[in-house]
Amino acid sequence: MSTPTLEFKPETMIKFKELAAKYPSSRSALLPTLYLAQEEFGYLSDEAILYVADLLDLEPMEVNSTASYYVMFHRHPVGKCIIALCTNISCALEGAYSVLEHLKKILNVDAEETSADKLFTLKKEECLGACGSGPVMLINQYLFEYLTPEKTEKIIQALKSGKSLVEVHQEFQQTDGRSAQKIHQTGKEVLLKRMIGFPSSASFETYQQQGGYEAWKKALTSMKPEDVIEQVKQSGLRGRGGAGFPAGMKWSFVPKNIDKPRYLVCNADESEPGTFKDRQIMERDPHLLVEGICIACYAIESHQAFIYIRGEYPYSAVRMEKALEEARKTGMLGENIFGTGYELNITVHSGAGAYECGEESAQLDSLEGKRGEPRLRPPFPAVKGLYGCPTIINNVETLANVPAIITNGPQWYAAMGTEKNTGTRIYNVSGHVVSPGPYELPMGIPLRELIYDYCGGIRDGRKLKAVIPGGASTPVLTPDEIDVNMDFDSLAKAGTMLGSAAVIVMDDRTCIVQAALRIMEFYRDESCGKCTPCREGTYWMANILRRIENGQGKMEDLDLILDICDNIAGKSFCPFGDAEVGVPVSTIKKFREEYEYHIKNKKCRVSGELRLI
Amino acid sequence: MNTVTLTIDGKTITVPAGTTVLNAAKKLGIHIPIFCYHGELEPIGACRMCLVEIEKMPKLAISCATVASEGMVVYTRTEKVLKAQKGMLEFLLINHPLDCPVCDKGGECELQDNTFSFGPAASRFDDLKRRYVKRDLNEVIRLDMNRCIMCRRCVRTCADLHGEGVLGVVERGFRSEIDMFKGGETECTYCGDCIEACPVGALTSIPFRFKARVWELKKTDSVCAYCADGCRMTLETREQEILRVRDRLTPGEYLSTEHLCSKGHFGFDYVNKPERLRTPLLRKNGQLVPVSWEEAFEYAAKELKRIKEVQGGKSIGILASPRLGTEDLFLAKKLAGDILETPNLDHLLTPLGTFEDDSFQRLAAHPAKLEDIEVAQAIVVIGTDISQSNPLARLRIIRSSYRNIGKVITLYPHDMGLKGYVSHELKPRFGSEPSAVGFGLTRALTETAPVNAEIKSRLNNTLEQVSQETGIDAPFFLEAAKTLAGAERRVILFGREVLSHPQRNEYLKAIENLVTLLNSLENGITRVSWLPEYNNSRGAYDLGIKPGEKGLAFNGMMEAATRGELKALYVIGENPMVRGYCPEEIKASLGKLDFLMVQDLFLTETAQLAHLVLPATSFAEKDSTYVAGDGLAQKLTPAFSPKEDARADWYILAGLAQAMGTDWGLISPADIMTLAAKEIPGFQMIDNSKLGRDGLYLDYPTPEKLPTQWQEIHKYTPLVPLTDNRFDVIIENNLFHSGSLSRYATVLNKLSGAAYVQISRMDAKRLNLSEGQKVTLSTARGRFSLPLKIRKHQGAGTLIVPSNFTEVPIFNLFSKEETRHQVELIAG
Repeated sequence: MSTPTLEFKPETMIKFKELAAKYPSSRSALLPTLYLAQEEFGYLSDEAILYVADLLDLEPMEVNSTASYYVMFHRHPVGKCIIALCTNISCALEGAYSVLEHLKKILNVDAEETSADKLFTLKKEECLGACGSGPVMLINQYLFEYLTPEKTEKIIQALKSGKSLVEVHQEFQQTDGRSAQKIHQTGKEVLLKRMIGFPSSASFETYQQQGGYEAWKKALTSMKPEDVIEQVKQSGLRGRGGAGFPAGMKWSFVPKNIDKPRYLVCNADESEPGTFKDRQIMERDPHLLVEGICIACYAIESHQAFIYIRGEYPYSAVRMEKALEEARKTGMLGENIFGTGYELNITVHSGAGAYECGEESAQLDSLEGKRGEPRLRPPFPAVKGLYGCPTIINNVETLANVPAIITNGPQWYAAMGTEKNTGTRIYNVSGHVVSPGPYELPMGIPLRELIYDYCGGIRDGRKLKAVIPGGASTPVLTPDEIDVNMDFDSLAKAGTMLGSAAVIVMDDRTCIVQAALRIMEFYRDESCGKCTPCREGTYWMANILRRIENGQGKMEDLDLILDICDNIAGKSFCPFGDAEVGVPVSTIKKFREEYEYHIKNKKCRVSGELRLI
Repeated sequence: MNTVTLTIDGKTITVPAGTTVLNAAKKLGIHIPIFCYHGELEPIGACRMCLVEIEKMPKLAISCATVASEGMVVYTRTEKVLKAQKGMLEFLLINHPLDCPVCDKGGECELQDNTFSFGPAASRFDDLKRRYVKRDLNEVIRLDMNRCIMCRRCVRTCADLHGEGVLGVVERGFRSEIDMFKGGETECTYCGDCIEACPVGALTSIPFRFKARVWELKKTDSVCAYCADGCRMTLETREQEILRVRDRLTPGEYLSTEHLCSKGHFGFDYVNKPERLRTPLLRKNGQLVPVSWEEAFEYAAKELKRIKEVQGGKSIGILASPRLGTEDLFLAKKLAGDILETPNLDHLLTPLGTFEDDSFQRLAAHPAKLEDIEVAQAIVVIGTDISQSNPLARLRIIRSSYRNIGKVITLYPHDMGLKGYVSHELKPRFGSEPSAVGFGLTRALTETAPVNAEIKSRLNNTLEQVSQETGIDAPFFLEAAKTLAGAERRVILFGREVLSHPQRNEYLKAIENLVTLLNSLENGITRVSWLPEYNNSRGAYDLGIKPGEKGLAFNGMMEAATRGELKALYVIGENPMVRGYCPEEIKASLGKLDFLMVQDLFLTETAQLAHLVLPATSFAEKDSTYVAGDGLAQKLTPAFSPKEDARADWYILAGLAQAMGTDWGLISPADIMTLAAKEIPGFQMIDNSKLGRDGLYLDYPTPEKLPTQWQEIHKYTPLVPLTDNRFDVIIENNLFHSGSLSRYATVLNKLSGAAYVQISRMDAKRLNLSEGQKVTLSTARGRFSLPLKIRKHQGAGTLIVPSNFTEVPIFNLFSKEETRHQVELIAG
């Protein structure tokens, strides 16, 4: 079978050649080429793998190994419409499992199966980054928000009747009054301000009218790269991806006088369950990100940046591509920008469904067309990153903060928030509050104020049971622990983390065991599998939690889980290991009696009306 | 050298900067358990087994990837470390079956050993284990994913060490699996090395499966008897049977740093074959019947004496295989010279002709050592598919490239199986290679480096002309020349297809000129090496197993036999009926002989025609010496005694001499080598007692700057490319075969699959041919049909035909006079 039996259509071949030309190394074109092949051939059959390997001069196993790593690549036949229903914690809290059950019934399939008419494949998807408007599902590249079993059935019926997906999606958005996430105004906006009150906030014109690209011009025409770094350092801006590392300091790690290209990678692989802030920026104010990237590139003297957007955000990729096109046309990008001779290109690169690719070194491997597995450090990416060259990886929100810092000065920025946690933060609130959604507020706002004053408190007059303050990787807080300030240091002091500021609020109908199990299954399925403790530990813990949920738990299981977590924490290859133990350890410590009840009575202590698994 | 001093478990040690904590501990005799660590590869830190506690580090650190620093204080046995080790082993064991009693790996399993030393006594896991169905990855590898601990040593060995990438990890997380993707162009050259890399019983050898417990096996150091790379191996035997062959082991280590190809790992089972000759056979009344050695020797001596007396020594010939040991070859030469008094001695069958060309002799005078490849900054490989011909030389090239030491330049019309490791791939049209080397690379060198001005003045061609002739654009030559000129150490390797090339003389001169030019540069050392084909080709060449004065080479002997001038032929370990040109003609010539004596392991096609057949021993039963392609003489130790009445070749030769009335007084191989050391230049150092475990290099003259003579290449024109359905045939050896012994190796034959003819994708498209389709190769002399294999990177206008399948009578299509092998390709 050495001669491929498949071939791209001429027009696809043109697309292939265009995208292969976008990367310094042809292997980087692997993920986009696999997308092309999947679109053209329906799924990635062995023949398709061989063909792609042949096109890129790779070993078929290299292609297969990469393709099989990402959940959005299908190695087996799938239906025409792939229904990816988010069932992760935030959507589950909003009733995703009742939608799932309904979908199974009306399609007469189980999850991960294809309907008899080959029209639908139903997939239980991990977080789709629309946690404030759940439950949500992605059908091919179209997102449907605020689902209920009834609405979902209407969508399916419309598709079955032969309507196109575009039509159905349009109809859904027009007829349903609540079809997209609302941005809640706080009055403290820096990043989200254009999204409120500007219907065409994503356009170049709006952005420019609001003073857009002035910072880029200022930086490039009147500042030296080291001045930019210095200003960002002074602003106190800390990484918004989760770890909170000072951005200016990170930039200063790029070695000077090195005869190699430098790269900037914008981490738009927003996959931490409960997080949906970066998507707002990319879809509603993409030029803000473009400008941030431009300035950061200049600071590290890079001429090529990549925006690594998770595969589950097809619309973000479309929006970013469009913004880049506009920026190129208007001379914000390209050669000789503002007549300075500076050249800069930005390339959008789509992931294909892997949480681990949010980890910066795994993201680089993924961008190089490999399995997204973390790399050993040292060397750190700033020294040896993409293609072995100095590379800085920054989160979307981090970069989006940069233009305002350059425009208004570091002191202006540092005046917001607290001393060591400056600026604002987009808090992604999901779960059982009255108004979930993104809230931009100064760093360090008390959690109680966020939940009760901004989000309207707990829905339907219920009682607060637990809050995950920074995404599924962060230990939970109990109602008497919410008088804590939402910044990196205060939450660390409280034994948890700010992470991606994904605040997941659970009311008293929530079964803690189910929540922990749901989150553990997420980690089990998303673990890259490279290191022993994470690969085996998540499998083991998911087994135990499932047993407890099924009424076969043993009292000693609780201490066993704590010990397994101890064998993972600090011993795994990457921070994923520490992330996966946050919820089990904190819930067993803080809600032990609920676990014990579950084991003793073989059922939830709560009513069971809200299923999370 | 920069060093650092650190303390591990209270002991202080100074190590070179860059040493890992793991290796520093090893030097102190402190054992840190590992799984994914592999000394030859970059650490990946996946298994987390080697965690240690280091002062001032908040977390435990992996010792395999943590570089020792000055003043570092390390603890390998603290409570925290011991708990982590127990934890990791418990994790690894939750899904691992406890089938050690029936696992082939039992007794040499790293999981077993580490669990014994560091593991928890019991597991707290009582859920269902993940289950996979066992399956065969190919004919020799069984995969039991249940036992796999995902250390990826197999995958990394395959990808990074061997540059194959046939194995890989698929899926992710706890669903991760090791898998092999079938259907690509690559077949692994080093099949079985992944089994060696596996720390557990996940990958096991199918031929070895359930044959023995490993501790019952006797281990004997030996040397591979196939190609000229001289790979050292460990034979694992029970009684008179080889059960397994492994990369040569270092005592106390599980992972070897030496490697074997598929032939080395799985090509041994011919030794165990019941068809092996066990007694001498003498033709009586037209039938070969078993006789005693006394009768055989007596008969042979009588015949040879009679013929020598009547027709003179010149009527006798000896063809001795380059597969024989050095001792055997030396005695064959001695027999020819001292007793039979014949100059008719040869060790070569065409298509390689003789090695008499001056250029060849200069180029082969002082071979580069294989280990030179690993330290060279520029490696040039010319005229061989090195992955098929010299797999371990290829492995060293990859290693050099993997470590970012050497840049690789290839010059060959086809793919060389070095994808991803080649910096400059020069692919001349077939028939224009001498131009690419002699006018292209040399011209480019004159343009990029300060070469000898006198030589420069003689090169008056332009790169544009060469580009037209070869199809290689000028910048490619210039870039490659830059790399060559900039390198401090250069190694040039050339192989079989230089010697079998229709324009061999020009090709060799071209290579010589390239070397001469490089030698004229002020900087750098250039070493050049001929890559010979067989395990002792180099030994045979150095011993001078070639026609003496006015002596005949093999083809000449056949002609003389036809004319009735050659009366007797003694064939030792060769099978010209299969490996010579025009077997029918050879058969007729052999039929004219008064006396044909064949010495071999099997009753070969040639032996079947013999008057007397003598049973020889295999490499496994032999105390002998092979000289590898790079001049490394290495000793073989017998793993067991010969089967019944089979005897070592040297023993038979000495017996024959004695039967003819000359007692050499040689009673052991050591005696022979002592004598050879006296008589053969270069062998002085090779005293059997000094060879030891690592062998010794032959002593070659004037190593530094050879050759230095500029060879004029007169009126050279490349071959005119063939058109339509006419093709140049390149006769090649498929890796899984060598043509003689391998034909009896059952396991290898399963791996190699069926015979084929290989065509470029471009030609296949042009002629509308598809993979697997039957095609006929036809010449005026004959025709035969084979299924087609299509390759993306093969040179246009060529067909590659492996000669070493019995079902490929390729030598029937050409006369021995033809140097350019042209055929017509017909579909069907």
